[in-house]
Amino acid sequence: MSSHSPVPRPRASRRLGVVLVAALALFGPLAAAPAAHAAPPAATLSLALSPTSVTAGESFVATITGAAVSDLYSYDLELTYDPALVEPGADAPTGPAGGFTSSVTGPGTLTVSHTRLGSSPGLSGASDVVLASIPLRSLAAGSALVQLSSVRLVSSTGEVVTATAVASGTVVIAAVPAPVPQPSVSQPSSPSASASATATPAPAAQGPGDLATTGIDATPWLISGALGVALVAGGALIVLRRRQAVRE
Amino acid sequence: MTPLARRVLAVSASLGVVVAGAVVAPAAALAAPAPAPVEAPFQAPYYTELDVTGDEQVTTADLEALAPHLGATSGGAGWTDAARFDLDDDGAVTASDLALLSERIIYDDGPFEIVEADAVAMQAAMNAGVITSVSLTQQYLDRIAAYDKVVRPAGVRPLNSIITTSEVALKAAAAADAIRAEKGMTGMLLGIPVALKDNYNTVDMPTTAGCGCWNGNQTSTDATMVKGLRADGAVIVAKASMDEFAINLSSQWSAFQPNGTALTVSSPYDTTQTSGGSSGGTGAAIAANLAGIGFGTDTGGSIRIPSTYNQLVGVRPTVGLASRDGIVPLALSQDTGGPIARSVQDAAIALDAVVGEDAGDPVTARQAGKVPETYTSYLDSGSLNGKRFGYFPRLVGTNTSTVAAFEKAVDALEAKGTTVVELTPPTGFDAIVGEGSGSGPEFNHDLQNYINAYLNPSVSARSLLAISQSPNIVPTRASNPYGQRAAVTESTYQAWAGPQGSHTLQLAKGKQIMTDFMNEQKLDAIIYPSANAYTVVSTANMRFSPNTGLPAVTVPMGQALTSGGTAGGVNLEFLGRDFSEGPLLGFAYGFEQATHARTTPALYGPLG
Repeated sequence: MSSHSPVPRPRASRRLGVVLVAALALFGPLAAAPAAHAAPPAATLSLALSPTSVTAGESFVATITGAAVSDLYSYDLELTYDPALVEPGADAPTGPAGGFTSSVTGPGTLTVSHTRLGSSPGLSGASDVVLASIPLRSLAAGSALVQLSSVRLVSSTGEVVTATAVASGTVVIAAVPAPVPQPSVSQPSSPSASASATATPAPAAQGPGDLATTGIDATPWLISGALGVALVAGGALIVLRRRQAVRE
Repeated sequence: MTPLARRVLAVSASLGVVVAGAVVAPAAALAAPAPAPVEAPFQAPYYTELDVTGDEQVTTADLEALAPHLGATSGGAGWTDAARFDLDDDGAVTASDLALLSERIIYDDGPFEIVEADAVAMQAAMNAGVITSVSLTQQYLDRIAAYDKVVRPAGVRPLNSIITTSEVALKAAAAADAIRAEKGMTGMLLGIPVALKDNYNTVDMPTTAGCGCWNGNQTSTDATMVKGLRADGAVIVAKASMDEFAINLSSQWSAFQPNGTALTVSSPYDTTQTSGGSSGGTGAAIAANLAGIGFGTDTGGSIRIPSTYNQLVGVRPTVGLASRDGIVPLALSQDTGGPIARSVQDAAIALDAVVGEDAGDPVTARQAGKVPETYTSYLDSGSLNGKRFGYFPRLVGTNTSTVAAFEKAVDALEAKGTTVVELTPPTGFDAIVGEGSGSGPEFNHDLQNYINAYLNPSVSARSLLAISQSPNIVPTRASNPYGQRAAVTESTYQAWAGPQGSHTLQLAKGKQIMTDFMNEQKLDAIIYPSANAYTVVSTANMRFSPNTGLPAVTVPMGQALTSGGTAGGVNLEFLGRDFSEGPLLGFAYGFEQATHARTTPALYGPLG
């Protein structure tokens, strides 16, 4: 698309600043600090599966939550899973109110995309924000790894950060019991909250003050993978790795 | 009714192209205006170019069209269909492209601040449900009540910018909200509170022309321009004060005041200074954010002087672009009605609603085929590139601070790719700017026609002579000007403004000379300061446009100093060819976006 002169909306000059600001956020946090009005988007993402134990054919929900969210205008969140064990649920994924949410599925993947509308501000706030609630359905017995395999976050000024292998969780899918009751077999009780799979990238080294507005607080997973370790139910080890921001 | 031919736009095309191998889930959590036919595409290309649904605006329907292609990559399956949504040209359709498309929706769920809000911000907030037209209108009514007739701390005089507030504005706002709920944003003026100079007839408020002698002039019809505004959904919130009968370039008025008294309209930037005239109330009210957009009238500077004194954008249209029918006249050879606004964009939006041919003002027949579908399509910040402007040093004047502001403006224009040249006046120029105003010879004649057509029968002052004899007029005006002008005979009028009248011929000659001159010099516009700070440069600056009939757009360019050292706003005025309001608004927009010279009057901030 050709570039045209927009009205003086806050996001009007986004294209010019994207590459530079994203690069600063990655390679020079201090240098990025002055660009408070054009900071990259930030969020600490976690993935929760509930319940974590189901019987084949039952549904479960993958919830992707953002904490310490800063100027998150638009995003893609890609889930991957074994299509032999899991499929999208009947209901469409949902996102935060007041925006536009859609999803696209492929073999073993489901990507939820969301955007705020018009000149609205990006999502921000210290409290948790449910970025996506994704109904899934189990298909067959097994241990199904559900991974938040790729994310792309876009700020209200067009800055982009991406990451892969952000978080994962496992849902244990039991076989459907045989038609004849087997007295010796019983299913586990419903999982407790502590059994939900979560993966919260460890926060980046942060500067003082209100980091959400200083621009120092780049996306947490941009920092060394050594910090990005979390144990989740089932013993999955989530290693976050830094990824170069994709320029717009 | 806005006379523009409104297009009926059909939502087109089935866009259900699905990426091969993918399944698209229906969108959830939708919250945006439903696609609605727009009366004219707003600010093409910015708000229109990414539309894929055929309604010439971006809505969530366009996001739905993009959504199936998210994740598509160059060379992959379905890319042929997806490629048009790769707005950032990175070879993939991602959330970045979704964001780039979404930002073209007029919608904003963030905090709304009324001070300095423009029409787009108001529409965006209303579309998001952050405000309603009712709440917006109430906020302006609250600001009028809190600010207009009081002396602000650190101020000296009240603004006195409003004569009447509407008792039905909230009802009109509720109607606008109902339209939005049912049909979406049907136009850029839907629900926007507008203040009109009190010489525009309105069925819901008296039209006094600022005079206590006409307190009872409740007309039974709206002025044609007002009909256009209402048809486009505007809410007429108030009638702004003005210099009585639009005579002077400062404003005093007597409407609803005790006999023998008058109020003076003050600048919101410095209440010891005049807000200008004759549309001084509109200027003060819009600058102080007492209404969204304003309208004034200009015979010899009455839109442009309040605009420059109050750091506003003013449009004096070509005579014949907007009907004067239903507006209290001063001199119809030169009278015009036009917007006074805080931004060029608002001025363009407002002008769209009031142009058109009208049998009630036959001169409007001149505009046939010369009016664009929307003036907003000219609002391009690159509009100055490659243009050629000229200036006459005589119109720049000698005030050093104004000259400095003008030189800085020229630098800004040149930085945007405009060539600015000094001009030698053509033969006949002195006669053009030296021609007198029609307000003397024409007022008696034209006012009587208005009285006969529109003045409420209960009003006793039914002639200029009777007005001059009324006890309820601005003091000292009985003899001069009213009495003197009431003595102008029909033959004198005809010798001046008749078909072969001297004024008629001179105005036609002036238009021809300047049009030929601009063609010879290959000029896109002639530029000059509208005024010095709180005083004119010369009558030539103000009479250049009315004495040629050519349109002028004035836009803030900076600050200058009075002889006493007081700072005040000064505007840059662009004059162009007949019916060139579109290009002129484009130039003004380009200059405005490069300079952002307007400031907000500190005394009239957000209500506590």
